[in-house]
Amino acid sequence: MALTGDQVRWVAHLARLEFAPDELAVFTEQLSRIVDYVNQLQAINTEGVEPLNHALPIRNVFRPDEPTPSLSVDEALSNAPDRKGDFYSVPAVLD
Amino acid sequence: MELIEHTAHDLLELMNKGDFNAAQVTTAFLQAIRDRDHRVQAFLSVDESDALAQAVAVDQKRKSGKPMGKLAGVPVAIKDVLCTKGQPTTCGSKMLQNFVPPYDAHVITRLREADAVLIGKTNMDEFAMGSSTENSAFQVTKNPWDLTRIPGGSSGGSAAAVAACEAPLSIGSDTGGSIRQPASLCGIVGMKPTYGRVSRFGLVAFASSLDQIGPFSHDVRDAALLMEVIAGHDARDSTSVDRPVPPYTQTLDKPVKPLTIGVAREYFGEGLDPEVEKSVRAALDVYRGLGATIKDVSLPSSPYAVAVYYIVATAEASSNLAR
Repeated sequence: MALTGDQVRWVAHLARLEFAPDELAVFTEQLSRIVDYVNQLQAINTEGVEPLNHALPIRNVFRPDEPTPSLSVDEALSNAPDRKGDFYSVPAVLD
Repeated sequence: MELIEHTAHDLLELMNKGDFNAAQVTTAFLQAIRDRDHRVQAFLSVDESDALAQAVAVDQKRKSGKPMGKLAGVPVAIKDVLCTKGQPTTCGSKMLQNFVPPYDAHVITRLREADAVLIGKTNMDEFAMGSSTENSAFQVTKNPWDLTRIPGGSSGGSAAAVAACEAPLSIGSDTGGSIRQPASLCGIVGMKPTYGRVSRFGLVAFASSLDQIGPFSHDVRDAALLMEVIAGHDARDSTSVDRPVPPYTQTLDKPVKPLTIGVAREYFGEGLDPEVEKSVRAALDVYRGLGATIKDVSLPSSPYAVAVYYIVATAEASSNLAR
């Protein structure tokens, strides 16, 4: 199942990656082969098989809903390249 | 034998006897790093004065008669994928080249509580994605046995550091083999603990349902010791298992019976290197000689494992690293 250049270009856009035309051709071919390889899983019948969440039977790991000491705002923002008050300032992603 | 060639348990004995103190041990390993690491390139960052200060504090604690932690004075190198408070944690990536975590990973806290000396952060494939440590954004780590060869990956720096005697112990992380494979390529002991055994709090995640932190060492006794220190339940990792940690070092010399080892015939099929097969069968003979029962079994879904891994690991990585 070959991926189209348009599909790869769209995925690249979502990942905020830019490709030159020759790179796009190489990645389209490589990604197509990877998708083909993984497609062999379609041959497996998983009817009646429960999804696996954890290798061990751990469920609903909760703690009491009580606030406990955490990082201060300054500690939490200590690596922010750009900061506005108590917030990280980042490039706009949504239009 | 040089001081730097000793196992951690030997070093502990030497320090307990008073033959050496922690400052001397750390100084010896820092010197080894200075002598060798420009060739091996295992370390991304070493803060010599901080390491020495940790060692001096251990010596002072011992002098004051306080009970010492299990790794008192033993230098441990840390894969740069674990958060160390106040010290750079790059994950081998330029994206994090200035990242200084404001907190310690759980494993780091346990090591500090055990009075270990955290000697430096080691090189790795970027964000643990790789099997050769060639994908670090900073440097390529060499295999200490042959500097033209890879040490394996993604925990190549941690493996090379121990193999080159730049540290007696190190910590790595393993998602799809990233401790086991470099340990094998560097000729040392490495282990991926059972999922849930070691808390992932403070581990920069690659694939959250596969990642585990584990030990590198010269021998199994050292790995057992390191496991006793880092294993155990942590409320800050909801996938960590709330079961008692066995006294690994106490059971090393117990007989292996009764133990049944299943050998899946799917692993001995096409594509298996004859040298690898020979080594694995020789290991099985060792277990047989120790009294284990070897049983032929089938794991019919084995051929699909890699494809499943490609989905699970990459899907989880893209969620974890979304920015």
